Amino acid sequence: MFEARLVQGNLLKKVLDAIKDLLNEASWDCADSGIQLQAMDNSHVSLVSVNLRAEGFDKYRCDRNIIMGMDLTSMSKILKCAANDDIITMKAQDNPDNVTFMFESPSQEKVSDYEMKLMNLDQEHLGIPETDYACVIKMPSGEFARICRDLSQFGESIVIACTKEGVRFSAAGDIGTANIKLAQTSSVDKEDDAVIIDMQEPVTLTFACRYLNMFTKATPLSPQVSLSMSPEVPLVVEYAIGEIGQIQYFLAPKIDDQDN
Amino acid sequence: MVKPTSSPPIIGKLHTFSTHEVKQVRERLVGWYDDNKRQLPWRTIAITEPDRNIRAYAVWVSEIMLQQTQVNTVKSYFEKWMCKWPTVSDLAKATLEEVNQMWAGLGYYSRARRLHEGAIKIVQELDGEFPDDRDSLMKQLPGVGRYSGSAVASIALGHCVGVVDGNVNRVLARVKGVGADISNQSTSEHFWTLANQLVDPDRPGDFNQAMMELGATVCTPKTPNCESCPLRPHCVAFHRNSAQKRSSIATHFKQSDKKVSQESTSIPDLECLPTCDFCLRKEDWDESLGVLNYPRKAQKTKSREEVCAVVIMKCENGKMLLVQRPKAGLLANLWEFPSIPLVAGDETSRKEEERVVREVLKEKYGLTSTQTDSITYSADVVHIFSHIHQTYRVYQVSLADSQGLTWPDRYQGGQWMEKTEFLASATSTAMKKVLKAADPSEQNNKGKRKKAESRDSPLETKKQKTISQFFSAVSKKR
Repeated sequence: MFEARLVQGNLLKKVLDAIKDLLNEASWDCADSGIQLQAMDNSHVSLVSVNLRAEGFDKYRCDRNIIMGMDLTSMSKILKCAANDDIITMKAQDNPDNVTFMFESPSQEKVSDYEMKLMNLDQEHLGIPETDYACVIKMPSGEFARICRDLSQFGESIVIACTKEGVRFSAAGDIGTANIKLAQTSSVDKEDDAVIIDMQEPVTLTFACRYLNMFTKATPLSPQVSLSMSPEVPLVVEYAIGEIGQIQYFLAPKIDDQDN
Repeated sequence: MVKPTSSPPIIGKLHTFSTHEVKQVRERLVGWYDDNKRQLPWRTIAITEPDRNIRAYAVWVSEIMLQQTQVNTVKSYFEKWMCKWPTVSDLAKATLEEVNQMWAGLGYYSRARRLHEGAIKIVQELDGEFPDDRDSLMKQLPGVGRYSGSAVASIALGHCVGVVDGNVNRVLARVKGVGADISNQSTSEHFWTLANQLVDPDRPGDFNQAMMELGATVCTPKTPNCESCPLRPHCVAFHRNSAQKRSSIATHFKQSDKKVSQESTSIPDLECLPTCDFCLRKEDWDESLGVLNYPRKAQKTKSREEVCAVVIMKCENGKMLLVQRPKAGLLANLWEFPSIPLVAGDETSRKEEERVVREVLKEKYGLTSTQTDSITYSADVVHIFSHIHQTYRVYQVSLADSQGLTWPDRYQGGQWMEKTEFLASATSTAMKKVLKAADPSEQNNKGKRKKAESRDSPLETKKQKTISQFFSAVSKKR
C-alpha cells in the first residue's frame, strides 16, 4: 500500500507544470524515504531529478518500494482537475496497475478521485556524481526566467560567465548581441530578491536556450533559483519545492570539439 | 474471440457483398481510379508495353520492391533498376553482388536475392517466358506468394484474381465492418474471398490497383478522408460512426441549418447475427476512434533489443576493413564493419564492454595488444529494423598496416575499402549511419554549414553534449 497526502496540493500541480514540457513520461520511484523521479528528455541533453521527502507530506505511507511509470501529459491533465487549494492524495497498491489521485476541497465538501493507468517504462537510471561546483549562483527565479526569455530572442545559446565581479549572461545572433550582468546584492532587504554568488574559480559555459526556458517553467515553485557550474560539466538549475523537496535540472553544456 | 481452428467462424451477412453491391462497388471504384490514380512508372509499363514478359517482369519487380516499402522510395529504385536490367534476361546475367548493390537502402535484402534467383530460373528453365497464371507464378518464382502472384497475374497478365495486401485489408475491414483480428487466418481468408468476389472481370488489374490505391491515398490508417471516398455509401464503419455522432449531444439541441443527414435513407443495416464472430463488439468500439476502429489491431509483438559493438579499423592509408555477412539471415551478403554482439540490457560498464571488445579483436581478428589498447569509443547509433531495435556502439582503431589481420569464420570474406568504395558497395543504411557517426569530417562539415548559416555568432559552432557523456548508468537498487 502506498499513500501520500499533501495539504498544499498545488505544489504537486506546479511540479507537473515544471516537467511536463520536457518529459513525455517518467517513473516515480516511491520508497519509505519519499518519492523520486529521474528522467532525461528525449534528446538526452538534459536530465530532470525531482525529490519529494516523506516528511514533507502530511501523511505518508509506503509499505513496499514501487515504481510508477506515468504518462506525464495524462497526469498533468488529471492534476488540472484539482483546484489550487485542494488537498491531493496519491494512492496505489503494492504491485500497482493503477494510481489514484484524490482531491478534497478544504471544506471537505467536494471529494473527487481519478484513477490513471500506469505504464511499464524501462528507463535508464543515471548516477549523478557528487560535485563541488566552482560557482554557485543564487538569484530570484523570476529574474532568471526573464533573462532566459529575453536572451533567447538573440540566438540559440546563452553564455553564462561567472567571475568575482558577478555573473554575466550573454547571447549573440543575427540581430546583434545581448549582455546582462548581475552583481552580488550588497544590502539584503528581502531575502527572495538577493543575488548571492559563491565562487571558487571563474567559469564560462554555453547552454542551449531551449532547455533553459523549459526549466524556468518551475519558477512558480520557488522565489529563488540556484545555478551551479563547474568547467565542462552539466549546469545544475535547482528550485525548492516548498518545504518538501527540490527539483534539479541538469543541462549538458555546448563545448568546442577540439579532439574530434 | 479466439476460436479453435477446427470450428469455422460464424460470419454474418453484414460482412459479405450481395451481387448488386458487387456491381456498384466495381463501378464506383474503377470510376474513381480513372480520375484519381497516381502516375507510377510500373503502371505505365503495365498499360503500354506490348510484350507480356516485360509487363510481367516490371510488375513483378515493382511488387517485390513495394513490399514493406513506400511508393515514393520505390519509384527511383524501380527506374534505376529497369534502366540497368530492362528485361528478365538482363537481370539473370547480373551478379548477386550487383543486385544487392542496386538494392542497397531498400531493406529486406532477401527480396533482391529472390528476384535474382527467379530471373535465372525463368531464363534457364522456362525459356525466358513468365508462367501464365497465378498458381504457377507462385510455384515457380521464389519469393512470390499469394499476394505478389495475384498482383502480377491480374495487373500484367489480365487474369481475374483478387489481391489482398495491407491496404486492401483495411479498406475491406472498414467497408464490411470486420472487427475480427486481421492477423487471424480465418479473417484473412475471408478478405481473399471478398477480393476474389469483387474483382472486375473486365479490368481486373485496374480494379485491384484501385483497391490498393484507395487504401493508400484515401482510406489511410490514421487520417482517412471519408468525404472523398467512393465507397462511402457501402461503408459499415462510416455509417456506424455517423450513427454514433447522431446520438451525440448535438441532437439534443436544434441545429441552426437544417442539414439533416440525407444519407440516413441509404444507411446499410448495421445489424448482424448475434453470434457473428466477425463483428466488432460494442464494448470494443471506441467512440473517439470513429472509422479507425477498423481494422482491429493485432497485439503488437515487442521488437527485440540488440546491442553490438562495431569496430572501424582504419589503416594509415585511410582504408577500412569491411567484412561480408553470411549468405543467410538478416542483411545477408552485405558488407559491414566488424561487429561484435554484446548482451542487450546488460548493465555492464563501458570499461567492461571495452574489455570484451578488445578480447574479441585479439582472438578473432588477430590484433595485437598495443593495437587494441588504442581503440576509442565514438558514438552510439540506433537503427530500427522492423523487428529489432539495434544499438551499435561505434569504436575506432587506427592501425599502421593490415598485416596479420583475419576475421571470424561466420563472415564470407573481408576487404579493405576506401570511404568512396564503401559508399558505393552493397552496405546497409545502418552501416552508413555508423560511418557517419564516427567520421570526423562529416561532423566538421556539419559545423561548417552551421557556421555559414549564422556567420556572426561564434557561439553556434559549439557542439551540444548529451547528459550521458557526463553521467553513467547505474543499476537500480531494487
